[in-house]
Parts: sequence; C-alpha cells; structure tokens
Amino acid sequence: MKIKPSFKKVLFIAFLVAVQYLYFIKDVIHSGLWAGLEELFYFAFALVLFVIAIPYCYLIVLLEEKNFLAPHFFFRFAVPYIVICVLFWIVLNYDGDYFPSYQQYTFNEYIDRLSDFIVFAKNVGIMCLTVSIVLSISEREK
Amino acid sequence: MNVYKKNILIIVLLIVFLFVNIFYVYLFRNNIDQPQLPVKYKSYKEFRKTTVKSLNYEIIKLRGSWDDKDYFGEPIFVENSDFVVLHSNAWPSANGDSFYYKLDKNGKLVDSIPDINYSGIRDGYLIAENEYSSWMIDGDTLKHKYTDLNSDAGWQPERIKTEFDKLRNKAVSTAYFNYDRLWKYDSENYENKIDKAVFLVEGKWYALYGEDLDLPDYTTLSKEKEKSYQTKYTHLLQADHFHKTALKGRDMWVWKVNAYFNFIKEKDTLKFFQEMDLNGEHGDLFLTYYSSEKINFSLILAEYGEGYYIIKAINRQQ
Repeated sequence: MKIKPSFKKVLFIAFLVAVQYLYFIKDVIHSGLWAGLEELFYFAFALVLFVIAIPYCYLIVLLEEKNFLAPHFFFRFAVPYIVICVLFWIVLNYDGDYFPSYQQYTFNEYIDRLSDFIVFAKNVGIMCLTVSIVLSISEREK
Repeated sequence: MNVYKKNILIIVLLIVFLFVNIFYVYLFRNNIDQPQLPVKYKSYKEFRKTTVKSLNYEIIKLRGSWDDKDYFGEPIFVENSDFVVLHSNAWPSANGDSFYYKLDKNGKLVDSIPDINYSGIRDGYLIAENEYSSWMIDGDTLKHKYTDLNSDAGWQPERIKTEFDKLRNKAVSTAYFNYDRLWKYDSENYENKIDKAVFLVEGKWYALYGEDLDLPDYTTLSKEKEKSYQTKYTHLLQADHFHKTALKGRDMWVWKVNAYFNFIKEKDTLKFFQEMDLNGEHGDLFLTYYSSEKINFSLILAEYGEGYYIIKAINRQQ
C-alpha cells in the first residue's frame, strides 16, 4: 500500500531520528573524549540529521510512486539501509588505510577493527527502522 | 519483473557485495605481504638454539664455572691485553654472588675472583674504597691497601690542595670517593666531610684525604677513558637480510623478524639468523659482538644477559 504522509508526520520522524542520534552519542559526550568545539560539532550534527530525514521520507514516497521501491514496511527499511551501509563502507575504505595491506589478525582482532563500522550499521539500522515503522503507521491511520 | 522481486534482488546483491568486501581482507589478504625467503637463506641456522659451524669456526654457548642464570653485562677489555674479563651479577639484586672471570686469548676460562663491591676498573686495576686488586693485570688475588699520604689529617688545606693538583697531573689513572660513601653516618670523618682521592702513579696507588676535596664529576677522565675502550671493542654486524614472521602487538608496526647474518672471519663465513624486533628500517637490524685484535674469539651477549655465545676456532683435538 502506497503512503502519503503529512508534513507533520515527517517532522515528527525527523525529530525522532535526531533524538535517537543524541541518545547514541551520549556515551561519547559523557566520557569526555570530546570537548569544546568538537562536542558542539557532534551536537550540531543532530540538526543536520533532522534536516536530512525530511527529504529522506519524501524520497521513499517518490521511489514508491515511481515503482522502484516495494510499498511494504520491510522494503522501506531494508533497501535504503543496505544502500547506506554500502556507501559508508566505500567511503570508509576510500583512502585505503582502514585495512592496511600488512597485517596478521586473528578473527576477533579483525572484528574489533570493524567495530566502527558495526556501531555505525547498528545505529543507522535503528534509525531506518524507526522511519519505516512510523511511515507505515501513518499510512494506516489515513 | 515485479517490484518486490526487484527489491529482494537488490537487497541480496548488496548484502553479498558488502560481506564479500568486508571479509575479503580477512580471508585473502590477512597475511604478511612480503616476497618469499630467498633459497640461500634457508640453510641458515638460529645460533641461539643450535650450534652454527663454518669450515673452521663455530658459535657455541660459552661454558664456565658460573650458573646458567647468572647475569652478565658487556665484557671488560683492558687496553693492550690479551684477555677478557667477564663480570657476573654486577647488580646486587641479581640472583647470585658476583664474580670476575678471566678468559685467555683462546676463550678458555683461566681464573676468577669474587667481587667485593669494587666500584670500578681503572687501567686494569679493580678499585674499591679501601683496597684495590691488580688481579686483572698479573693474576694476583691478594687485595692491596692504598698508600695513605695523609691519613692522620695533619695536613693544612693548602698543602692538600697543592698535593691534589700535583698528583692529578702525574697520575695515569684516578678514582674519587665522596665522604658520604666512605664513612659511617655520624662518624667524625662524616661530619667533617672527609673525601678521598686515589691516584695511580708509576704502578702504585696513593690515597689522599681532605675536607671537601674539589672532586671532579662522576664522569671523570678515567671513566671516559674506560668508556672509549669499551666502544672500541664493541662491534656491530649489519643484518644481510630479514624475513618477517609475525606482527608484534596490535596497531603497532613492530614486526618479529628473522634477521640473517654473515659473520666473516678470515676466509670463513658463519651463516646464522636470530629472531629480532623490527621497528623501522632494515638498517636498524644489527648484532652486537665484542672482540679485540689481541684475542682469537668474539663474544655475543646471550638473551637477558644470561651468559655469552662465543665465536671461536673449532678445536680439532677433541
């Protein structure tokens, strides 16, 4: 079933995403690893996410209308999510030193090295899931 | 194709792409990127684990009357002499009694004496606060007293000063002892800060006492002379080749490597390797060994200073 969310719902979704982001970074902020300007930057990024989430919702609606995306809550979540993960992975490896060519890791050490990516994938997954769920609920109410 | 199938296909393809990408490094690139060990190095042996021989020379663990766990530092060379002195357990915290051992020019253990807290070596003499030994030079195991010039402290400060400067200019070697090392705390000499200086003049040691002698720094001329002797007898052998065996620690670019050495002696080449840490360049890989022109062998300090390895001619008579 195709959806047509109201702007209010979209704003609500964007707000949820920003709050989730702040929740994810709370440990980073509290641990005092960053201070001053950098801390400000991390907070400011919540605003960026809030702004990005709005076109993201409308992009999903558009893709469904153009028959690129299946009108189902699972696909609304999974397709954009996996695309984001792949893009992030490519960016992460772009300069080539995320995994240098000289190495000799055990499997656990290797997974440890991947931890940045895993944390990113987990957090973005939760955000995408939130967007998809709320979008789907809003559809049912209509 | 219907949109659901299309979406499923996209998801599956991207997941496969991502997983192959993520584990590609682990499965196919997770090993040391280096060329194969050249064939000629395959015959090299690890000298710390097995005996290495060439036609006429060999490296073996140096055996003596000391314990395997005794700790040794750099061997001691005396200028223009054809022997080497080894000092075991130089630090009191080490495991056993401290001894001096003498090796003749063929690397045979010929003599030893216990170390009675000698504070240094000056021109082959073992120097302590109250006595000295000429054992290194002539094998005499008796300890000798210094010839006191003014033990009764009857001399005027000016006279001590003149005498001090005179002796300092004349002496081949000197040693200085500060009052706080010489006397018991609270004793009269301690209170008066009586220092002691000893001078080697024409083969005899003289002692001069004096209040607040203007003693030179700890790194005295003699000390520096000793040091330059030691560097003179220390040689570095550059590694011919190295081969990485493992990464040491995480995220640090320190490698465990086998360093291959060619030790050239006369027409022989001793070929051996040892495990080392590589933290930077090939040029950092070298083996320290000790030798002089007057002796027929070289010494390599064992791991943790537990004894030595000796490079010497193979004894055909045995």
